[in-house]
Amino acid sequence: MKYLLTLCFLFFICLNAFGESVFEHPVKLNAVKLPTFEKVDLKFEREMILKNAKKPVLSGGNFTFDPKEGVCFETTYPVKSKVVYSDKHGINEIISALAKKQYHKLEKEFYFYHLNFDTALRPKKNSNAYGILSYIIVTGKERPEKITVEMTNGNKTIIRFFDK
Amino acid sequence: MKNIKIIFFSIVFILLLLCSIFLKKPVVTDLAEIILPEEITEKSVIKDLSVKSGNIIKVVFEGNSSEESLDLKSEFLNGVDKTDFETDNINPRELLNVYNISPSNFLSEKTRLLLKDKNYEAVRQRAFEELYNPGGFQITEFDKDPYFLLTDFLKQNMRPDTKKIGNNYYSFVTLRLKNPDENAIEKLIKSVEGKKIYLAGNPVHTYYTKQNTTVAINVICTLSILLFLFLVGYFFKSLKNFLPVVLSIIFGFLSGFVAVKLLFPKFIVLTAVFASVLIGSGIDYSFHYFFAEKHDAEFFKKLTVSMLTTVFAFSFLFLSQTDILKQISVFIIFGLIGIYLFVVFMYPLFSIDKPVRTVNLKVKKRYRAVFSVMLVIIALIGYSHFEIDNNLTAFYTPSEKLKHAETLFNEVSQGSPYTSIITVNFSNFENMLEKEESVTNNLIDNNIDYMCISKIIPSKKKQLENIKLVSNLYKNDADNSGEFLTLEQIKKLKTAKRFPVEFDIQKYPYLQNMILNPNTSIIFVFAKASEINEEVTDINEEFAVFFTKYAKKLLIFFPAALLALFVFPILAYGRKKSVMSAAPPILACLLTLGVLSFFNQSITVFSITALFLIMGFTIDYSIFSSDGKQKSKEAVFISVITTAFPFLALSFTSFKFVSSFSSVLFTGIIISYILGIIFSGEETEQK
Repeated sequence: MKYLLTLCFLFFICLNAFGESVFEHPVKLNAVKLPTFEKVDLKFEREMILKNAKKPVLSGGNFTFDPKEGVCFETTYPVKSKVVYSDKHGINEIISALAKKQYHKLEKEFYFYHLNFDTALRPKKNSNAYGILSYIIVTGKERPEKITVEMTNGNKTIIRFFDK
Repeated sequence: MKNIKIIFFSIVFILLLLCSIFLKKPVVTDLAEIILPEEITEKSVIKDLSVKSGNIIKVVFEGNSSEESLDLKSEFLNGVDKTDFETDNINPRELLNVYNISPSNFLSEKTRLLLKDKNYEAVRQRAFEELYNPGGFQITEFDKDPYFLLTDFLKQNMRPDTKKIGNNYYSFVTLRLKNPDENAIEKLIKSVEGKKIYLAGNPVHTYYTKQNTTVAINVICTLSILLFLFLVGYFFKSLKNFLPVVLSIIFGFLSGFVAVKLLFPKFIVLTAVFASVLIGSGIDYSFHYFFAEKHDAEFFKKLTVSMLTTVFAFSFLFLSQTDILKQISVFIIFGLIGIYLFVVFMYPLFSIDKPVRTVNLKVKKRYRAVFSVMLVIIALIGYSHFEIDNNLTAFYTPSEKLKHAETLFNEVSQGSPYTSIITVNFSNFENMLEKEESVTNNLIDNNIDYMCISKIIPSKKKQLENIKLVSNLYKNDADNSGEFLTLEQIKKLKTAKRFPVEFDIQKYPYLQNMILNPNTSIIFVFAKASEINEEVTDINEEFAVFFTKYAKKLLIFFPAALLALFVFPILAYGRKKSVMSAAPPILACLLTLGVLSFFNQSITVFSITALFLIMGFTIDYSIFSSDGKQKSKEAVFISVITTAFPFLALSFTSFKFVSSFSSVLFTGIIISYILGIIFSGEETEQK
């Protein structure tokens, strides 16, 4: 009975820990711990959950990042397309800042939160993304493994990265 | 009597000094306001455009990469003093809220064309690309806009943050100067020194013009004083005469300055540059006084007639209809009167040295003939290709650095070095949108890029057209969205009733920049005026039309004005003597424009105004030379040097409006003087 109670107690602790949101852990800029990387060449899978859509939109392909060239998504299925973002496009800006550890570039527009291997960015009120973008969560230890983007309109995109 | 004079002039002097210090008037900084004639500025479009752009500073950032350019921009914006400058806060949220009410009302021009052609497959294909694009975004709820029509519409108006030109990347920003403050601009200019940041816009042009003007004033004043010291030293071998001359010039300057401050609501700093010719005139009167053998009634009559004729000539600048020339006129008229009064009343109180040296400039007969013929031939050749330059660049040409910054900004911000303006007159907001759309339809057909309010806020008429096109799309193609939408959602798409949405322009201050006044909006077209099949507000052309009209008016008036200048000499000396002394100035006026044209100097409508001044100045020389006395001739020679010299110096200033006006005056005065020697018929060698 004693062990059962201990197990139950541990179970509730764990349950509590799992239920904890990354947004409960705001961090200062110098405490941000994000995976750093230089050039990357990975595979990606994207899942887009559109509010009011019957099912998620799935796609995938190759992802490359070069600090000089920017971000390139080459979608290979279900349609073939290639998009390069070398400008201040949201995704390029965030990945570039992460790669170069230049978090201060994002600090003006985002609040930072950190828990385990998740780092979340939530737009500040003065940001143009405020009211449109809810948050971005970057997950990863040595390189980004997953990026989750949720919009205020309820649409959500999850991009997972894999080694080739 | 002597003491009364001293006390009276001292009181006047102190009063003028106090007025010039404590009588505060705003300083005109806007270049357009300085150059534009009233008749033009009264036309609200140009005036309003000038007001709208008057406080905008354009900034371009250069980097080896897109990121470097954006970093430079970010660093710059962090350092900008927010109390002096503000950036346009283009926040799309307010607009997005309205777009989201009925996303199908908004179509990009490309999609409109596809839907008009019933090419639904192409629209669906583009929607799929957006749907599967990992960096893509869906701005509204998917079941309300499964074809990403709103996203497509928004993308149409989005421009990249940086542009690659050559090997460099450029980004830009516009700053609004909250209050006209020269120190704020100076601080901003200094903050970008040594950085790859380019500044343009009206406040920057005005700042540099003012700086150059200040340098010009200082250089002209210093050189004039040095020349004067040299002349005093040369002719009098002492500097005793220096004090009264300096005092007379200061008295004249204060008189002119206070008169302008009292008579005009604003002070144009460039007036002070032109007023530096007062130094020449001040020295003129002084030297006539020093060289005169007797200071009798005859001498004062000559001095008075000379002053009145010059004053009368300057009063013709009022015909110019430009504030700067009117201010110059008032400054110099009152300045000359001040100097004249000082010379007449105060000089007798000073102990003055008489000249100990003379100079005798005469030309041999054969040289006279050769020179006269050459002058006439040069003028005739000049007149053969004579034309009045009505282009705005004839009045103001920016430095290469500023020109480069302006072109760069246009290319980076709008993808074309050219911006043309189409104005739209409207009765109400909806009417404005419809009128803009009817104009821009033509631009769209010709693939010309543009920006105006209706590109962001379509009219209700256009929204209704879009609703119809989109309803047809859903009726004919929505079943193909079955993979992601339920049957019920598809049915709703097909049957939903849609209505145009209302926009409140007051909520979008940055869009209001494209409304000039309560009845006029502007369409910025990023192409040359000649490429546009619409009626373009060509500022250059508006000026050209005005200046041509103005030049004709002046030329008709010119003979009458010249005759009017003889009023005082005729009253004083009779017809015969006046007409005899009139030949050199009249010929000088006739030849000057031809000679300048021969040397490809730009002749503007204001050059014709300058001819009145040539008459005014040079009749003065004729009057003093006419007595045939050697000393009068020397005084005239010195007068010519001291009057023409400031104009020569001014003809090198960077502000073309001033330099071209001055070169006409310099050339005219010198020609008139030389013709005077030739006409005098005397022949002597240099002593």
